Amino acid sequence: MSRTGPTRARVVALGASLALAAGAFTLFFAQRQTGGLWVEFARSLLILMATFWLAWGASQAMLGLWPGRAVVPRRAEPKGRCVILVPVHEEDPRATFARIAAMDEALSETPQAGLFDFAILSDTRSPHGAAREAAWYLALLRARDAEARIFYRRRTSNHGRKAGNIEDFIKTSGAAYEFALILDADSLMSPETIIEMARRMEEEPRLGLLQSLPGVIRANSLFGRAMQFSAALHSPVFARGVARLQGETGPFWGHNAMVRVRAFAESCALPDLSGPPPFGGHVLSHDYVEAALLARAGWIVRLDEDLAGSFEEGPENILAHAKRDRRWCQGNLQHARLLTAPGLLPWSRFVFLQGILAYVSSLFWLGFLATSILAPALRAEPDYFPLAGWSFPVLPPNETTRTAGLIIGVLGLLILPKLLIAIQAIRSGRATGFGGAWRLMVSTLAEIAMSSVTAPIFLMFQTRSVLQVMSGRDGGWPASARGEGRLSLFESWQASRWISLIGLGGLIASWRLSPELVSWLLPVAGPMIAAPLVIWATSLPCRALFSVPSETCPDPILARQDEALDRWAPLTDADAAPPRQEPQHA
Amino acid sequence: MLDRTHSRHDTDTDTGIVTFEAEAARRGALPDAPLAMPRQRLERDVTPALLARLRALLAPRLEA
Repeated sequence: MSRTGPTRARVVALGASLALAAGAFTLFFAQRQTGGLWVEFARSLLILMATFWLAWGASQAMLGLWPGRAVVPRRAEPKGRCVILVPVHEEDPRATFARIAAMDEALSETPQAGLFDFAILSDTRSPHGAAREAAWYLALLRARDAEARIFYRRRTSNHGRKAGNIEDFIKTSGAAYEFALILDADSLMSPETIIEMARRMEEEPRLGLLQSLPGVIRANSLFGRAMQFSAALHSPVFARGVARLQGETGPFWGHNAMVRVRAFAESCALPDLSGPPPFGGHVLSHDYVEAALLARAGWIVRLDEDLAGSFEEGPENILAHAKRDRRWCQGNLQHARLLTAPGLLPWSRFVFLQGILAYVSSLFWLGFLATSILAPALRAEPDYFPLAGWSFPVLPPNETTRTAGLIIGVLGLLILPKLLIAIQAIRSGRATGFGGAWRLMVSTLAEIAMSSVTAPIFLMFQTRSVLQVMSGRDGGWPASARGEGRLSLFESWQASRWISLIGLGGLIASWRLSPELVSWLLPVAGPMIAAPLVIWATSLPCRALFSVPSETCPDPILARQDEALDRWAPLTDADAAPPRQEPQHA
Repeated sequence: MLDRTHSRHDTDTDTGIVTFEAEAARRGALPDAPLAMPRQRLERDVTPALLARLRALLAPRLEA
């Protein structure tokens, strides 16, 4: 890729986003008419920042809509040995190891089978979890006859968490491998994709890390399926935009990515940051930092969004999503410490800033809403004749017109890219995988409706996360919530009643202070008040909507995973363990 | 750092689970092929740089 490509894309995306943000600012900053300078200025600044963030996301989609150049693969066969790393932390070993069994079985049928090993790197601490892992690991060895090909080790110290876990592996065994494919416990990849990634690594010796775009699979709930649909339809386009913007300073998302072990070893041993968590201690969102460090050392970090056959599972309900988001929030805000890290490329610093903005923007939106409600009470009396010698009155700006303008703008930035992606999918024939053009459009509209309803709820969860981190609260390292996501109404109420109360409070305040805003505030306050209902309803199973290619024309690796799970379904944890040998006495 | 021996559990051979952990650790042992990972520097320590600049700024005047 030429160096001018990303530069041009960055200029276009940044320019467009700044222009739109400036437009939103001027829509609201009209101090002469209202006289309340500081309130107007404060909320105009907030809307400027919030709009910039929205426009930045939309511009990535727009960049991705432009079709990519077809990759012409050279047929160099991979020769370097590759280890597939599966770090686990309090996961269900049966499900995780069934994925490994499926991938190992699929790889064993390829001519490159001898190049690939697996290493399960456990950070599980609970005795019960560790015992289950050991038992199911032995079952995996028996099922795949995989001794000295599928390794397993459990650390007694979790220092450095996932990054430290991988670092420990490299320090112990890194020299045995040319490449390492880093997975998550819920990752699944087709053998063709794994081999193709190794081939691309082989072809470009400066490539330090190759990130694939994981699609979400096996979602059952309404929320999970909407996310899965969005990941299948929108993410490839957004990812193409990201790839265009980032060029050779690409992203690392922590899993479903292949690294050159030597490059990773010489560049990516992370230090603990000075001071206590949440801003000090282990680097939480280590993946972004590792990508920046590889780029700092001169290695290419690339996202190849055309790599199919890369999958992960997603959260099944809003609470599981919010829990994961809390962890990501802390990790991204911690990057504020690294903005001035020595030697980083400017784009890597910008990526850190972007990650911080992703969370802080929720404060901008909430601040904007709060100042909009309070503005009438804080404003000075309007000056109808602000210009000397001008005998006609200047009327204060109509709040309804401004709000309508803002809502149209926001909806445009949020919805237009999704509609354009759907239209492009229909025109290119990609809609077939989504059940055809009509089903795709219905699903698209349903996803837009659902994300509009859930957005204010996520806004509140994100705001709480940001405030918690900024007040010094460490979120720890909770196990990932996977699998069945159905929630009871009581669980939903307990987790989100505070959102309902804030929504109700905001609506009452608006009714008292800015009655003309009440109807415009309802699309935000309404879902907030109904948060327990929304969270509960979206956690229920749903099969009617959101068909995706992984269901209509599934990759064979999914069927292999099902078969592995079916084979193990009748086994209990005790069955998984080998028959006990009687102790031999002398 | 690696828990390959599980010494705490190995002494207790009455439970099957303990045996599984020891056997899993033995049969799952990673290849012995160490690779160095030099620790990276992420934080910029501004104090020495600032002091050096201050010293450079002040030294000529103090000497004068």
